[in-house]
Amino acid sequence: MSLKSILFSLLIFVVGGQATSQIVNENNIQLEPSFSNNNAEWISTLLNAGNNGLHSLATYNGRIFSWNLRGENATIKIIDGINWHSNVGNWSGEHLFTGMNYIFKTNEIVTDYAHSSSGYYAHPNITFVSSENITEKKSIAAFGSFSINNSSNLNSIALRVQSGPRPNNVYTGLAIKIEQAPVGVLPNGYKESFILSFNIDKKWKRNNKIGMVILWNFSSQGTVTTTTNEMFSLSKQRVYNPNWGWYHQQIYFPNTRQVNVPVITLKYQKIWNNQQALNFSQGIILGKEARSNLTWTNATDPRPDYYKYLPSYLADTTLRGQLTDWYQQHPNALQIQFDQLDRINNSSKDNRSFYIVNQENTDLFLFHGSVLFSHLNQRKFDIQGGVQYALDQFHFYNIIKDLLGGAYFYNYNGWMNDDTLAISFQNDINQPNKKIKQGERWGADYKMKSIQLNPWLQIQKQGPIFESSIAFGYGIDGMQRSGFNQNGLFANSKGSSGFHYYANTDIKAQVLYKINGRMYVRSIFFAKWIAPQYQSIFLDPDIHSFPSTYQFKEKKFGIDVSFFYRAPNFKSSLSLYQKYNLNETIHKMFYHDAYSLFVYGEIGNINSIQNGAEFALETSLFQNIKMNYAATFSNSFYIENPTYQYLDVNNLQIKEAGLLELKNTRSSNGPRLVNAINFNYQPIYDCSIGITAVYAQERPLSLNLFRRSTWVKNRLDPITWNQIQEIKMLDDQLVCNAFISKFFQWRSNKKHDKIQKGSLSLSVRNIFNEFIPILAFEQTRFDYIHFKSEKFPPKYLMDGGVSYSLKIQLQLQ
Amino acid sequence: MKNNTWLFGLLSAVCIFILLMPACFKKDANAAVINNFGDSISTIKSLRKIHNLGMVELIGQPIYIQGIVVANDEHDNIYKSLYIQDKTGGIVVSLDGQSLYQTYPIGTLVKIKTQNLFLTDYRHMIQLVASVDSSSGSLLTMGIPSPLFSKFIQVVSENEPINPLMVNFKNLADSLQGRLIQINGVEFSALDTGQTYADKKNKLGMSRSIKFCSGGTIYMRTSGYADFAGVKIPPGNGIVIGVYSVYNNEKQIILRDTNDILLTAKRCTGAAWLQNLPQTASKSPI
Repeated sequence: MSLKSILFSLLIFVVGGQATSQIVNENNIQLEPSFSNNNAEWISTLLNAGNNGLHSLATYNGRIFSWNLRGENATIKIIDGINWHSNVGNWSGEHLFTGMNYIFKTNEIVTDYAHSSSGYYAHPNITFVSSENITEKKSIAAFGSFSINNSSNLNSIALRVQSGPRPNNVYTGLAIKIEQAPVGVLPNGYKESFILSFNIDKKWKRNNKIGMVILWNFSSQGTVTTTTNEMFSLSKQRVYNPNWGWYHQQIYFPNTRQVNVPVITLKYQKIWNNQQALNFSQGIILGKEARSNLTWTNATDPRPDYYKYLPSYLADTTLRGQLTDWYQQHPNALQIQFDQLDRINNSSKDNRSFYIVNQENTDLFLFHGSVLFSHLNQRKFDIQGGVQYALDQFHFYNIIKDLLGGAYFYNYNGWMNDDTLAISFQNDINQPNKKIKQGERWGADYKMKSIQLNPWLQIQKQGPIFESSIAFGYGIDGMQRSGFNQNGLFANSKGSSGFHYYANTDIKAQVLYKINGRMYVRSIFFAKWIAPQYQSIFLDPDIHSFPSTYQFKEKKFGIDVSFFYRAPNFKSSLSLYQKYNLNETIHKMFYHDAYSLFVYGEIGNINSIQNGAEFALETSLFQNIKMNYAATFSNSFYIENPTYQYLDVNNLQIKEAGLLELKNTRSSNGPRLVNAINFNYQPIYDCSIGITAVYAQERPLSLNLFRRSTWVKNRLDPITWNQIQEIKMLDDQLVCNAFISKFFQWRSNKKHDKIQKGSLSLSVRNIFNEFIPILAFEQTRFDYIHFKSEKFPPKYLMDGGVSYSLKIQLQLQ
Repeated sequence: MKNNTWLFGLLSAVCIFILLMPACFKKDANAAVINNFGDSISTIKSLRKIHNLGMVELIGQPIYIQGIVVANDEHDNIYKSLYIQDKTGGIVVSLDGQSLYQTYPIGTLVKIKTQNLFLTDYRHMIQLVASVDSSSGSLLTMGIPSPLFSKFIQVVSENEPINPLMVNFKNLADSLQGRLIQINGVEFSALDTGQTYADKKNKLGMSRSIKFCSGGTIYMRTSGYADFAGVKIPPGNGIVIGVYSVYNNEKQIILRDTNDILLTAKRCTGAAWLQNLPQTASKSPI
């Protein structure tokens, strides 16, 4: 019996975590309630009349709405002073800490480039958290939850043991969390995770601390993918997932994700005379992540939602009707037919596999750290300075996880065009036509190295009327690729490229003017010059070391003005902002129908502007009902027509180049107008009931920019061109959530006056079972021959609908 | 004695009935498994007879045919279709899918439910298709959609032996359409010898003439997408195996792969070939 099973058996109470759609967005750190805040995790701690009223709502409901306020990137989380975000592949270590929030405490949430006293990061939304181990008492806390929605359930149990002060002021803590979503017909298949955390801290003198945290995340889960509306209709399931199928009479999930990553963090803090402090944090990640997926070569597309397999592909109405009827009578035809794939592999010559399950492995080594020095003297200036640094190495390689009934798989590159040269499609010309067995490496094999060094300085001055701060940052980013095998197309696929270095610069300033005791005005200005990202530096590191054409530094600058009114029973804020995003780039590889080959599509010089207004208020309606309301209006659009080009993936020759007709087109996929309201009723001290509603209007599909080119325009009549250029809006969306929670405590031992605590909460999400796309986007592939938009229709990922979550927490001292 | 014989006969009949009964049940059970695929099988020849050249016939009756796959798209010389044959004839089945050879390798015995399919012809080559559209003025056809393969086609068995039908030039007739044939004593014309089967670089299909030493020409049609399109045509004389096809009145043979070309003997062209020319030709003035 596995350790997980034993623990499951030992812990009596049933548990849970997040509903299905929460599993989907695995990169979001699940915001579990701390013990003192026993609301359901998605219930916003709304507003507090902050300048960004909807921020909490959008964050906490982010698993339903994928858009971000103000079109910004998602929040980054600084964990124990370390930013685990890497330049390589936009990798973020935050998912390693998923579900372990109860061992961390949130120190500060910073939005919209506002001043942060926890350190300076040139990012719009930052949450600073730290491991919380030093508690006065020995305690044992158990957390459990059980959640269920239309299609799945997920259980979780967690245990946290804290030693309290031990001899020599040493504190230790141990936490374990186990999550399990059983295998079933659910969107992403299954989830199993085991997370172990151990921390030890030592405190000496006054506030000097040293500590270490070891966190080990070991998880495996199925993954879900997007699909077309037609598949939702055919399957009659909003949580339809084309990523699985039946194999030997059992459900089989080829698309999975595995994490086996330990994280070790060392912390040191030294404080002098309450004014000066030095914080040093150093973290190391050494582990392995893997993603598996179904792969095929020289064979028909096995995906059940491939456009040619759908009724809409058939022009003949009778045949279309026959196919629709067939799917209704044979719903399993809407999943992958693994037995058929097995038969093909099995019956081929020499049992050559045409279909395999490939596993993309990433061996991780990350060395991240930060130093922060603070000199706080509120009479004069608060000065903070520091440096963040990172050294990352990612080793990417593939192994064959499952040959699906075959005996071997050729080490061939499946997407190159047949140029009759037998060498061109070899992934390794030193071992041509190599037959790869199960568990062996094949395909791309390379390392990416990245270094980052970002020193910064910020100064703040607080006065009775004015508060002002200014911050500067300047850093160096470097990136290098090293290939380990030489493919048949590009000589530089093997060996190391040079290091590509770029500088980052950013500056921001903030002024707060206190008009009187209740009214404030705050203005923020920021400007950033950002080094190109991983995808912009190398065109396709899987295949070669050639740099991208558009290695532009992205520029962002903007201004944000907010008005605050704070009375004892009424708080409100109004924010107006304008932001420029310049020199953004997009890089995608896709099949171009007009050229009948795969191309690298690149867009450069994407310039857009974001204007918006946000309003928030908080008040008490009666003695024990608190109401929060927030509304936001945004208007984002491209200000110029960017350039683009397509490169033939086989030889990097330019196939096409020109302009995209994007000027004045919507540049954000967020809704233009959002209204949100929350009522929190607390009839007695230890019980609260809440209801939240969010209404979003004019939310567009995420656009595929490539199809809006002058090349396309010149081949079309004005009506068809307008139809292609037109932005499709999603239906207006209403999400309503509710919760009830009860906090209780009792004395377990009268002699020692020990008070035990517990809480119970029940939450319901998406009460009205609204049909809400989590993701909605135009496909990159487009019919560049006949220009029929319906040939490659938009793809969606739908929310699972109404879901219920029951949570229990117990804390014993 | 007569009575005993009668009684013996009766008992034998009962025993045989009892012995065969489970087999009948088994057959019924199999029939149920094959998902409405009936047991009443027509010949391909009788199916072909339904078709009138230039016309389109919707097959409304539950007619089943059974045949062995003799050619497929394994080497990309055939596109989105299978050639199947039984003892009476062959036919092209149009399927809207690729890599069909993986599901229906050569030698696979398939049973096809033809109800709701159409019989048409393309340049006199009769084919079975799933839909027709003449709204554009010309007849456009579409093969059976991939998801419906299992609705219309059942794999009965695999690795069935196939023997090509040996024919000479005089025997080449429309009744051989879709059948695997073998022609002996043939060679490519001198003009085509040394050329490639098709234009691989530009993906253009080509017709190469094959001369019978006994007189007569058949054309080998090869797709520019065939993986052997760039292979040079051998100069010798011998045997060619392929699927018989027509393009209007032109007799064609379609190669499955280059292993079906066995031209290792000396060419018969020159004096020997001239002697074998038809009389009219030999009498014509030079």
